[in-house]
Amino acid sequence: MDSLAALLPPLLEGLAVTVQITVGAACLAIPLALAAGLGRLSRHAALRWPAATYVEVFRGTSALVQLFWFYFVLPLFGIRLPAMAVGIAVLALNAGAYGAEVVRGAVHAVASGQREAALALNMTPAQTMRRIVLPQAIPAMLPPAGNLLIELLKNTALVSLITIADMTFRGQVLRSETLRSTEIFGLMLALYFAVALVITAGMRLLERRVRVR
Amino acid sequence: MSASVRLTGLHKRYGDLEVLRGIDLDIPAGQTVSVIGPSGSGKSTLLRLLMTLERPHSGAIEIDGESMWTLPDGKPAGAGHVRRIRGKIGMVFQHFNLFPHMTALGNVIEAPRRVAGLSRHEAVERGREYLDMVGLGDKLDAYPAQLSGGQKQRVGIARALAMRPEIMLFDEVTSALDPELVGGILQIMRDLSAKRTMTMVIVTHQMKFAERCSDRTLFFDAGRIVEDADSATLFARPQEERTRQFLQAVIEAE
Amino acid sequence: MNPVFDWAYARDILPTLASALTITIQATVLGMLLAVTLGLVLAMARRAPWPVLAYPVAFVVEFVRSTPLLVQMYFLFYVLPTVGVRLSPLTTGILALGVHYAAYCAEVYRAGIEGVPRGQLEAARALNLSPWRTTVDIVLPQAIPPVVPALGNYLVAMFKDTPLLSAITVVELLQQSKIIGSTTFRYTEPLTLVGVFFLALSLAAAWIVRRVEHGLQRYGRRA
Repeated sequence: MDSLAALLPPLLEGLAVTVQITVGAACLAIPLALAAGLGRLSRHAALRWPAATYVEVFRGTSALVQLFWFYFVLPLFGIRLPAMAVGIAVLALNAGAYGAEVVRGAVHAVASGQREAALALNMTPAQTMRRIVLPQAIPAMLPPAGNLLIELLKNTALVSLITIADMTFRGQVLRSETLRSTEIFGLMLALYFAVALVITAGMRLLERRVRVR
Repeated sequence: MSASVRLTGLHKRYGDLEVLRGIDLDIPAGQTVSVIGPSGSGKSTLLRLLMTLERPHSGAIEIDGESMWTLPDGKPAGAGHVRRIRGKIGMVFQHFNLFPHMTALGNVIEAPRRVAGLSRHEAVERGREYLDMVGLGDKLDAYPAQLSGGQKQRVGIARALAMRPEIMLFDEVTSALDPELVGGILQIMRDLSAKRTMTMVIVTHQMKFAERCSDRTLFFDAGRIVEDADSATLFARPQEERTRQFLQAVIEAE
Repeated sequence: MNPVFDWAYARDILPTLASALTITIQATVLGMLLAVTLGLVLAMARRAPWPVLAYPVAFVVEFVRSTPLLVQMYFLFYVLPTVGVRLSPLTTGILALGVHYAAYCAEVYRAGIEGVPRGQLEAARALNLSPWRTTVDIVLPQAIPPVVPALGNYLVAMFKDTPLLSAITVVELLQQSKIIGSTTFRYTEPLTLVGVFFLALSLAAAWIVRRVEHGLQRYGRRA
């Protein structure tokens, strides 16, 4: 059906924006997750409390509500950001909070004997974390991280509701113009699925390369 | 270089459970001491306290006359002070605790490089030396997963030795090994003891080893040192009834 | 514009928001009921011995899990009427939530079923139990309790996804707060209140799930 081909260009443009947002938010979420996850495990309450608060608040509230809140409320504090920046930032904060729990779980799961051996060798806490604990924790983080990346991909659709021209937004516009709902949304779902498959394949490759012998 | 150990009134509790009920102990530098006793008697806790893996509830630990947790003026010691003293002590663990993501050589050179600040070249040389000493000169590039239990423990010993501690602690280091691999480890420990370069404290269930290869043996029970004598005497003529019971039961089991 | 939080205003809009909360809760409960039942059906279908059933079901489950709920909602909202199915926006939303989370629940059930020791199946076969009886009397009663906490977590997650219903014109919490905001031009208070509602309820729900998990731990598995 040639009308299907006519639908593709705007959707693919939207897809490019979707991928951009996914990658951008993921890049921000990773350091956030590490900082908050390790922060929650810290001995210093001054690090633990802010980390825990951040994680609980962003995990406990809805991503869409977070998006709207930042979109509507930030300007009132004089912070005027383009919608795209708000979208990426909020999605990153959201994903980072879930990622923090993954980090925390994986670091916690490294056997205590490892830390004891490091202490017996007089390594500092920082050296122990960097050289002994994290290298063993990171391979364990990858499978759940892959799931979180797919969650992030799915969440990007929400930014269409704060007027960002991602694939869902373009699809909605297309629908209002052409009323070809079935083809449009069907195509969109297939395209999202394709990206999800790419992410899953990529993560599997990464897992294989990082495996602890 | 070896260091002396003095424990005064050491107490350790886990919640309601009192594990060490007042330990007083003087170990002169260079001595090899075996610690025997039933499970749960507090032997491993003693080693863990010495290694600073845990803190005593009350009491003092002195290494070469220097208090571990208190400064000379009575104030609590800071992390730097504790680290300096901890640097004199090394430990070999029952379950090896090797770093699985590093090779045997990697395990051994990690602390010399990162803690003692040796260059990579110096650390590798030292690593080779100690791995040779424990008979693993050809396994430098093997990962722990590729090693047998006995080999893993040898790496553990080499790793601890590479930091040249003045006191070495052995926490039931053969208990997790197949019987046929035990002898090799005991031989290494016997050779180390003969060199007299370190003070050695060995928690073990290997009674013959304790009797023949250590200068002095402590019998632990229910958080206290029940008997403390030179090894030959304690095994041949135990003074305390509890010691006699324990040794009798152990001999019957063998 | 005065950026300070207007507490009197917040108090005033509370009742209106609370009434929208009932829609949110309705959607969550009904959606979850659909999800846990449909999920079980999907999980069993996936394990069926007939590839012609198992493979398509597996594909559909993966597809639904990997694509955005929002787009699935739009799909149902706009496409169903074209095939003659006219549902209210709320019903459409519940259907979308239910199907989306059924895919998650299916995976959870699958993990639970695969966690039942093989010895149980062997014992059932030795007693000549039919496959159906084995599943219903032996496997499921052991497969489901360990995964209840995971199901509970999805309940909380679904609750947090209900604001998506606002995109298909359902007046739940988020939509109500936007309506309030657009009439008074003060969005801070309604949106913050909504955020607090969600946070409080999801923390409470998460606490309940943890208690249930704790209680279930005493439910022995090996016999």
